[in-house]
Amino acid sequence: MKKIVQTSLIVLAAGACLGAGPKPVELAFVACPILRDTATVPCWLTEYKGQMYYLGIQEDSAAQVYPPALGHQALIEGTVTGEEICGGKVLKPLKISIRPELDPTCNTLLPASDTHKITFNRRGPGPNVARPPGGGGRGPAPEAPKPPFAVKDVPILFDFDVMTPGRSGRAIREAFDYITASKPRKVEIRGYRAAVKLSDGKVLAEQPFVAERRAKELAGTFETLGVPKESIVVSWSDKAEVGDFNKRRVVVTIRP
Amino acid sequence: MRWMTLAAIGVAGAGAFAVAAAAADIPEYWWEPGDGAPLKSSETYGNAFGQLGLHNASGDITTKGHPFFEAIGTNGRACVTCHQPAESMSVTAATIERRWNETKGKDPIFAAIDGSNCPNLPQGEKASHSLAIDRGLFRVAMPWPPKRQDGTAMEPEFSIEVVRDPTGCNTHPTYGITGEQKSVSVYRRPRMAANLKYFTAPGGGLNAKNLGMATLRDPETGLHSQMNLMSDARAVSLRAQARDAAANHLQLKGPLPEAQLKQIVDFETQVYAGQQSDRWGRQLGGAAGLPEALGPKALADGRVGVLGDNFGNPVFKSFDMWRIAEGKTARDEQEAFRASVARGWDVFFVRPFWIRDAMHINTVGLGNPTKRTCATCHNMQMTGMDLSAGWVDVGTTNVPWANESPELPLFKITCKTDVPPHLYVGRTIYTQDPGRALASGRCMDVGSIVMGQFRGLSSRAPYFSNGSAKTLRELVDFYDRRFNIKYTEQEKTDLVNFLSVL
Ligand code: HEC
Ligand code: HEC
Repeated sequence: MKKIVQTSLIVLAAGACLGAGPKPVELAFVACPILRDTATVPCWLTEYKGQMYYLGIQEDSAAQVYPPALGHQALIEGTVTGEEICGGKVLKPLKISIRPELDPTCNTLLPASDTHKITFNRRGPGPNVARPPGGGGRGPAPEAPKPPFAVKDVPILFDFDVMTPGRSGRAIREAFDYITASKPRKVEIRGYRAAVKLSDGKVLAEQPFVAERRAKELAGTFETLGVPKESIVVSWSDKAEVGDFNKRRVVVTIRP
Repeated sequence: MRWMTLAAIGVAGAGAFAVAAAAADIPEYWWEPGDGAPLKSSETYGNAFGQLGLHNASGDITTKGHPFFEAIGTNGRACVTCHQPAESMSVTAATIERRWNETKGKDPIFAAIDGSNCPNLPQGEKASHSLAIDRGLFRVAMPWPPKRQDGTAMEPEFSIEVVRDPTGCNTHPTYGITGEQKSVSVYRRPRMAANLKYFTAPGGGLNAKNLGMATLRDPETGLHSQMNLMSDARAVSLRAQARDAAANHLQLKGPLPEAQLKQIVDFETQVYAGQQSDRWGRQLGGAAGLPEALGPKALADGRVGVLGDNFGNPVFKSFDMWRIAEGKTARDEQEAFRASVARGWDVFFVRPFWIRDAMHINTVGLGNPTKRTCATCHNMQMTGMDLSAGWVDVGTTNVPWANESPELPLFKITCKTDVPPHLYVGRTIYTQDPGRALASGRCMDVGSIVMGQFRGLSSRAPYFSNGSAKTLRELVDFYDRRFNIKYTEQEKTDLVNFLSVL
């Protein structure tokens, strides 16, 4: 892995907080992603206030962070680190939410050059290695939950403004396994809507209908998985709660 | 099986071993419903590229009285009418045209219900069957609004308008979208009724690819469907598919009796089809020292559910034995052809290009665009389908990528503002066939078509669900244009040769 570690002096300056030690800079902004090709896999960047930030490389569905999309802006929420990859400052942790509507101006694809090399990629721009590390992302099936069963809340997270659960398969599976094992009288599915305070001070709220759509979408998923329709109670709150990614959620409350 | 005449057809083309470059004597076959001849455990049928092999894993099939081969409905057709053994259990446009000429349009394959552009048209006229004759397409009438599995109507996420209606069917007072029957007519190729074990085994419950939603369950077994049957995955099982085919294609009145249903599914799940020999490459599979994935027997023996997008166990296994060592040259046509096929394997498997704006592929954590290969989408070992539920919008039916087709309907889809959009086209979509969206009712599925298998391609032109690629070369040209790949002439020829031996 090629890391250009900044000196602590620069980090200090970036922290702009003398005496109390460097305070991590948290950013939240909406911008076009930029794709930079390299000799191996491409890497994703974005620019905010004249600074380039690194958003990850091309991996696959097992990736920690899913990359953005050209043709769309993205909401970026991340904490600035001193590390630099592919010509951009690394944000860690990092959340990327693709803005649902099209923006054809987000269309920058930089050609590969000798300056930026990605060598830590797990797989190249093609088929995977013979034996993907960790068996290709498929771990052993989790053990079935055992009694006694109590009331259980499972939060299922969504990307900003997104109504489909996307990457939350594991949480959905966890909830479903608990439902299967505990045969609850009631499964409450409550959708929420969130808002995020951007670095420029503005508040960006999710669309008014996401709470309802999320809850209904997930109820449909559970029904298709085999949860009895009669046991499902759907509700939602349209109030946009300001906070981080944990607020963009549906909470499944399982009442055995 | 009746072997008809030998027709001499000259196919024009360029480039050494561009397979279509051969002028060839291609035998003509036609399996008539009720023919009654046995279908042997192993059959071979000539095609423009060589020979197709058919393998029945359960031995010789008695077709006399067999519901797949008899006209069990009311219109004189059998399943075999559109799923011909000699044509990889599909049927070519060329054969359909020949049937028109030989029977003066009387063959039941031209039945008004779906073998004509619209049932109201004058059935004696060739022009009324132009989509079947020119492109090998049959009318599929999908209910509007779309129906759930239990038959209830769903509220679709979009409205649909008819922009172009060359067949007249979508605006017809009986058959049209707002007509008595309230159906959307789309026109599709018969898919291969062979090698089915690979994509009809039950799948997992959560479809990671489809943005975390659940796959439908087969109400008869309670198991989740892999959702890889038909261009829109509307059939959750072969049993459901056969019932639907009997009612619609064969116009069977009343239910398909259980014994016949079982016989149909039993037959379908043991029949395998793949190219077996090549004009230049000679024997392709079925012996030591030949590529392990080739030939129908290999298909019968192959393992189900293997992800092939990796170097450990590639989609079509290895073709290394056909490579010519550096510095050496091919001794003869056979070696040269085989080497071209091995290079075509590389083009398919490892040659990267920018895959861009493909709904249900770029959306699964790869980024948009993603620098990947054909095998990213076509990753199921032995079939080249998708191991997940396989619908993707690769651009075959949606504007702007679909090949110009003034003879096909064009719809305008307008999505509601409070639903997930088609991420790469938006909320206003022009399409020749909304594909999966006509079954799911979802905006993001508009133009997504389930990947078809890569086998027996030499026997079943034209390609893609709407028959928009007349030849394998046209299929490759579509991708070259769609993804701006900039293949060299050599790469195109090699890729065509590779596809032709599968
Ligand atoms: C008039 C022509 C015609 C007849 C007759 C016909 N089919 Fe088909 N078949 C089609 C078409 C067209 C499709 C693809 C439809 C689509 O994708 O929506 C298809 C698809 C299939 C598939 C799906 C294969 C795949 O890979 O998804 C199977 C299996 C099948 N048919 C079996 C049958 C059976 C069994 C019968 C008899 C009961 C039958 N067909 C009769 C035209 C026909
Ligand atoms: C983004 C995913 C994607 C990529 C990349 C892709 N395909 Fe496809 N392919 C599809 C889909 C979806 C279909 C079904 C489309 C249809 O029938 O309209 C398909 C169908 C096919 C078929 C079957 C045609 C038939 O009629 O049975 C072949 C052959 C094929 N592709 C070859 C290729 C080759 C060669 C490449 C690389 C140049 C490639 N594909 C790249 C998604 C993809």
